[in-house]
Amino acid sequence: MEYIIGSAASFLLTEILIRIFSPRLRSKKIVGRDVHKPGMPEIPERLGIAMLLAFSSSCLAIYAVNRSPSCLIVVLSSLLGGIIGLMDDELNLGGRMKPLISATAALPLILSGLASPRPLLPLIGHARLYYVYWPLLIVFFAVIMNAVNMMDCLNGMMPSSLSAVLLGIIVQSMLIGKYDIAGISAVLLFAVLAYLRHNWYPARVFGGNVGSLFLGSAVASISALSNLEMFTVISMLPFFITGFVILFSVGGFKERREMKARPTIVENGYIRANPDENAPMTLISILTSDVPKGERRIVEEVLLLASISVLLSFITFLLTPR
Amino acid sequence: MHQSQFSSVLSHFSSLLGDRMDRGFLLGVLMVFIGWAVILISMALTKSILAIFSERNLLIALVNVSLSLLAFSLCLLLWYLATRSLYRRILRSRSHHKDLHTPQ
Repeated sequence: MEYIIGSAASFLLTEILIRIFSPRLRSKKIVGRDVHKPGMPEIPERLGIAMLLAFSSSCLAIYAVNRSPSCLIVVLSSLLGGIIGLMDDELNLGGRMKPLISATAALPLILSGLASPRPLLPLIGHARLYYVYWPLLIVFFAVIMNAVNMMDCLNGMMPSSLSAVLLGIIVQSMLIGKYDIAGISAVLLFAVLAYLRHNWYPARVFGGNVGSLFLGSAVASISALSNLEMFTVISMLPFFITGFVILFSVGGFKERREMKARPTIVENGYIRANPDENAPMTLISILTSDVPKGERRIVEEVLLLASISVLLSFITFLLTPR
Repeated sequence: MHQSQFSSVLSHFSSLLGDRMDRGFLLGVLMVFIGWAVILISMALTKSILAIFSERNLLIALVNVSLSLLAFSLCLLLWYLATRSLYRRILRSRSHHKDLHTPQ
């Protein structure tokens, strides 16, 4: 019951905080340019803070009621992820430093002793990993957080796809009897849905790195607490496709300005893949390789890919002995 | 320049599935399925070495995990190379037939 009220509170709080913060951020010139729109309008940025505050306060209220330690640990990891995102927004941590620093968001989970080194592996079942689980968990956090961060490039693309992923985690957590994790995921899902209302095409707000790194950290800690790490990886395949093809294409962790050519070209409001041999391949350039597409259509296609991945994750989950 | 067999198959499917299903989107779907297959194959391999994977000797455990990650990375590299090859072929064929394409 507390999770249902917490989810509603998370949605309403995110909605209210976005309405309060948005004009203030615009007046303080904390804005980003929407480069895929004609005239590149300025949009208030870093509204991920609204989601972070709403999610954290809802989870802390739930913790006050049921004393579930999972709530506390997910909030701590999320806050750490959000702080790293804010640092990136303010100081620009750089392509190489960001993955290293973001891995520290795994520390609350590791130090709390709540994580169990028995991940549920697809087709195998629970495996007991003695030493290797902990370094892999740190890598898992860094990969998930940066994959979510790289996905946040078109209006509504990251929150819509992440909503599908969270829905998958909720169902799978309930099926393995981890109702507290399913509840926390629902609280996060409703915060994301409230943000999506404002970030969907045409976006009125941007989340900034604070939003994407906080969400990545929250999803990583939720899936680690439920031991569903590999199923989350399958659900997030479009996120990893984006991350891996960029890494392979540009030859390592690099910022946008370090790339020799842009992956896509914007013409008359339509996006198409850059045919330049030096241009890196990204998920967006793959989707626009055949025909130029509008931003909204690309986001709808990515959401469809995310839904297919969640379905594949669910099929794999059903085939796995538990 | 002739289109590759893969590119032709993608064209065939895109015409079967309607105008919204272009080759770029089908390549995205293909990448998701291949990514899924890579994970399942890795898991099948892991299953066979699970006894070693849960090794209590730290050194042997690290060597085994390194080998598994190496195999996984190799799979990812092959996945990337295959995708890039298809992607470049679609881009080349588009530049040859760009008059046929209109923005969607």
